[in-house]
Amino acid sequence: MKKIKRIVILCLTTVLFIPFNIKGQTTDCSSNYEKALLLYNRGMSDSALRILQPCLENKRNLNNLSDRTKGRIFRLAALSSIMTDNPVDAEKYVRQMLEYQHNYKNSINEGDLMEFRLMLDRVTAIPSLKVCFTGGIQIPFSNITKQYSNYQALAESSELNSGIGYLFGISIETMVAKRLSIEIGAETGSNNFQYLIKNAYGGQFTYHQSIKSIEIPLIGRYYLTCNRFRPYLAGGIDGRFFINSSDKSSTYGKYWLSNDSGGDKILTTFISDFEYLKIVAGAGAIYDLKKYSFRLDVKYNQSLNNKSMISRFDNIGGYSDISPTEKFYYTDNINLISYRNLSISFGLIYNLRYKVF
Amino acid sequence: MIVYSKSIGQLNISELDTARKDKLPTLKTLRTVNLPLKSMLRSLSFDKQSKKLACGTIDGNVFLFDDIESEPSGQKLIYNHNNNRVLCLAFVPGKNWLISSSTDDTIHIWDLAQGRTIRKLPVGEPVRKFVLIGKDHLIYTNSTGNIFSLDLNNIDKQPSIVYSGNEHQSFQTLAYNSSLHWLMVSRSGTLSVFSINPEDVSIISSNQFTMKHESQVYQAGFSPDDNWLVTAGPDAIMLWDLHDASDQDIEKLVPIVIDNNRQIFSIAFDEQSRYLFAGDDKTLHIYPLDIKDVYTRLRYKMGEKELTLQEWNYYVKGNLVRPDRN
Repeated sequence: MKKIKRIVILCLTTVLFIPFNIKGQTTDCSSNYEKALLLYNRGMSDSALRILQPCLENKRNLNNLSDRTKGRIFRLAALSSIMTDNPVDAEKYVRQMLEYQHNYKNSINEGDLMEFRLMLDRVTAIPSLKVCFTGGIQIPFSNITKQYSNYQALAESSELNSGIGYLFGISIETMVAKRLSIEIGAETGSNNFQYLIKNAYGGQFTYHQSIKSIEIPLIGRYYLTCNRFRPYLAGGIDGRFFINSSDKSSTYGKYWLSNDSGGDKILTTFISDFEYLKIVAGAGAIYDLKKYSFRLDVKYNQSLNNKSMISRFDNIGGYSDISPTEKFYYTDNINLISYRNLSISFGLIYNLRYKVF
Repeated sequence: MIVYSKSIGQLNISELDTARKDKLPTLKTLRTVNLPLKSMLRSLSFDKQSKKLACGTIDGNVFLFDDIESEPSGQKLIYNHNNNRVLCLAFVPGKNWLISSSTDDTIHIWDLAQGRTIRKLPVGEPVRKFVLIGKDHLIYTNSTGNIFSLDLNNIDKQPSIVYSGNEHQSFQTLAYNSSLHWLMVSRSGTLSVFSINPEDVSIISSNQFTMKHESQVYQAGFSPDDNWLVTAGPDAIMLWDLHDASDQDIEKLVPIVIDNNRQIFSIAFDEQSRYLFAGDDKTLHIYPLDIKDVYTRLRYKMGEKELTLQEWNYYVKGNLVRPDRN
């Protein structure tokens, strides 16, 4: 019994002291690459491929290697496949090479075969997932749908001028096809207006108004080329949430109050568009660097007229038609405006992932 | 006339300019011919009698030029190897046939007079190179190291094995010398020579060169006058002088070694067997076979000065270290 006990203890001790770094059989792909390169240079492409096979078949064997070495392994596999008259495999390896060395086309190796170059021409590594930080300006194009003035501010002439506002945003873009991408983002920006009134009594006063919003654009992009410099056309929808403090009338909807530059007149502004949605169309261009890209984007944002909102003012000819219970009844001017804008932004893009098309 | 392709979908028709006695010959392009389809060429064959030229592309097309020397050359696409690359092409003298092999694992026999395929022989694996022994036999090898013969007088008959490889190692290329009746095959760096009876394509004896190449030999060929054998691998291009060769002293042959460090895709001699052409991925190299002539020209070029060993190696043997000539 004592003997059995001793054997069991001995076995347990042995098990406990077995090193825990025992792993499954792994292949040193870096050394395999060196051997395969030597064979390839001696014209033994079959043998080179055989040596590379464990690395090509099981990507776990490539885990500890740099992207550059992984790319070299697939390049050599592609060249060897061409030499052994297997263009299907060669093209597959060229694609895999580009996944690791997406800029390979810009630094083609002297020893690359012409057929390899042809295959390279047929495929493109494009950033497939990217984060973009944007900053730019917004130029509003607004027009007054309706306007009212009280007897003191009675407007003889009025002008609505646009001022340049800012725009900042962050977005994520993913490629859904070789030339097609979808982007979702979050932007904040301001649209600035200047409303100039010359009243019937020779007075002149100016309202400066800034409407700020947070926007959630959902944009589809079609890239016209697949090169480093890629112009594109874009279109989509934009969810909009105004963040200026506003008031709300149960009859007429949301409005903003703003003082004139002298401080004694008040303007009420209603927006005659759908508040939460607008459509977007634009164009721009991207220039890819190694890990980053730059983007210049021009977008035209078209708000959609909200007819039900406008119809609320159908029977309003002047202040006398507004109920004195409305808070804005006591303001000097009332504007019903529709606005659209042009945004020009510059983006710095960080490319998270590449896909070979 | 030298026909080669250096651009996709294009053939260059050139000639060798040997007019200047004091200079090495240069290649003078006469014209370029665009193929009907833009594709990369893989194989070429020229029929001296009919002036017809055939070329095969990497996407399986076989083009025929009625007369490459005239303009227009009358090029047309005659068939396609199921979009698989055309590996080897040859006109059969006296039969008016064009034969091609491809990675679609077939050998295709096209009758030029009838303008149709008369035999599509499935061979189980790609035949990278075949040779014709006269107009009656086509010889090819496969990955088992066997050598097969197809009787061109009875093309419906299955090919017969003329040599059974017992090492299960494939031959990379083969060439036939019609004067010496030698069938040369290469396996890795080893070159083997079979003495063959051209009547019934039976092997009489086999000899082996001592292994000279350090790499696999993918290209080999005999010169039209059968006095030279060239073998090419990424390590070197070797020229074997066969002027006094006979079956007995094969092992004693010593090649002229031309340094090389690129994959060689094609190798050919000119009609007079005066120049050797070797095409790598980018360049067509021309090597004069008459070394004495080259030496004389070089001496003339150098102002009658004797060449140093380094200069000799650089200009004649292809050593890429440029000599310092102060």
